[in-house]
Amino acid sequence: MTERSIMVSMQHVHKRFGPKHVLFDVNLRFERGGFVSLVGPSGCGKSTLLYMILGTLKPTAGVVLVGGALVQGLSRNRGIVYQHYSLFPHLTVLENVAFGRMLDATSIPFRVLRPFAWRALRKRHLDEARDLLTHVGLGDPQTLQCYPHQLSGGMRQRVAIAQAMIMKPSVLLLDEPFGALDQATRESLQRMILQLHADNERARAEGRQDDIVTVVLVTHEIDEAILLADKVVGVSQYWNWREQGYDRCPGATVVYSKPAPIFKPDHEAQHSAFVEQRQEIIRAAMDETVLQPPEMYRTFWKGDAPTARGAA
Amino acid sequence: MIRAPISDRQRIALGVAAVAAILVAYTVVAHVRHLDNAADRIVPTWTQLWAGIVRITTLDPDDHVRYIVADSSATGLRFLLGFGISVIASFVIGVAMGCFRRVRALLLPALSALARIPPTAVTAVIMAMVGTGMTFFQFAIAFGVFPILAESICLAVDDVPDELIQKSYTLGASQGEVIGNVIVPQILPKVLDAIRLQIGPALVYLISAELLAADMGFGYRIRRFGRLAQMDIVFPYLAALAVFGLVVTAAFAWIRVKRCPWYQPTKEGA
Repeated sequence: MTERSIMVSMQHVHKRFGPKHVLFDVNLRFERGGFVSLVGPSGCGKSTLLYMILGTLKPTAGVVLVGGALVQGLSRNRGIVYQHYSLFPHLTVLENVAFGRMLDATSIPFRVLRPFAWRALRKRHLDEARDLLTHVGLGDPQTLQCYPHQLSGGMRQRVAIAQAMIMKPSVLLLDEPFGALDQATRESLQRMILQLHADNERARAEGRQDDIVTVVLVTHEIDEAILLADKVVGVSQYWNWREQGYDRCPGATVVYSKPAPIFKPDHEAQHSAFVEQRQEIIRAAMDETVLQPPEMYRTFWKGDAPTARGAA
Repeated sequence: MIRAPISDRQRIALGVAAVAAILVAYTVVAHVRHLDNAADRIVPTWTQLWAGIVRITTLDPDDHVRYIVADSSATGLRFLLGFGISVIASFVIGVAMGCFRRVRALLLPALSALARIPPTAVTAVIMAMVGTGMTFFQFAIAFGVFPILAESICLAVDDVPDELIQKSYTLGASQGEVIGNVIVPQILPKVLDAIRLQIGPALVYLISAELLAADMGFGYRIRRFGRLAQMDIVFPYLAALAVFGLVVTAAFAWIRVKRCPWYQPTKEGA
């Protein structure tokens, strides 16, 4: 992994909410075009990590870099798909997806003062949105004119992903996007996410660097984490902090980071293929009775040993 | 069962039945009173009411005006200006309080305190301060409507999920676009509802101000003929107020349905 190929980098990141220590000395590097899953027990700070990359939370200590630049707030280069409230309820499906292009490419004065130019541009944005929605399986003209409340949960999340993707973000953040969906819908959306891998590969092969997206997924489903990602990162408060000189848990840290097998969207995933990895993640991150050194299951980023006590 | 649905036909029939019951009860009471006193005008008969309607819609030989036209113009203009200014001010302040914590910290405590003072109790104070011109009526409406409406709009802004605001920024929105393209469209149905619910109170404040200090308008006319116990004139005015309130309320409800077809009052967000 060269410095240029790193898209997201977290260096000695700590996060506290008042007296509550949430994250402790997190060091991570995500490769450009990579697909990373963050897994861990409930309340371990996975989403906190994600929101620090997004820019809505600031680390108490340490730095978060995206594309080499310090994250200092929200940016159009980092897209987000939430579990809930992913779409603007007052816009149709088509308008929801075209919304980002409008906001990004035009300003209020432009839209007010140059209505004809705006109308032409608007048509182009809607065409782009239509193409993208067709790509995610929502090209039906009737669906395009629906409002979010008229869609199923799975359709909404497809629209939300299209809405984020139309911006061609450097980083796409997915915060348990399939958490509220039934199994069949979840699997269908998982195939759609796997398609992003294929799209990334194609963009890389064709030299379209701007079209390569780095995806970070937060999920509590270990199978899903392994299935979708090419790297799995386990974050957990279950590590041997006592042996390292702490009286109480100083926060969750990275206890697992290993590559995962890459599946193709049109292939049936062989869940047996990652049984071993699943067990390993459970041992490393989920089992509160097994408190091991955090570096035990870390492979693709070695410089992430916790700092000396009191560093944060 | 609680909240068991009923058909449209049942709903309309029950509504009509209630109105019919009121009319029948009125007719009976008027009839009974006129058995004792044929000249009674406290509860006028339908014939007396019709005579009253004719009187207010034809040119008065003494005052040289058609009462209902002159009063509607005066009250309508006062209402339009007072309520319109209140709505615009409430909207701007309410959105600002909902969007910016400093503005909220500055204004919300004061507005909340003002909202707790009965507006009709302040009418005399307003009159002493600004006189009895148009400004008086505007203040009388604004004092009652503005604090409540601004607070409602602020709360409506609070209901816009943080996630959607954050998402807007990730889509490249500026602060102005987040307000204009995300927050305002989403609060619009709630704002329309809040405005609709304030129409009744605004009329109360205006009429009570007119009762106190006006030489034209619904409040003035009701006071003048009420003192003479001429309810054949007063009742048509009250009916006109009810019709006005119903029409404006229905208009706002219609605008909400037409402008915000996406709005699901019981289901928030997407």
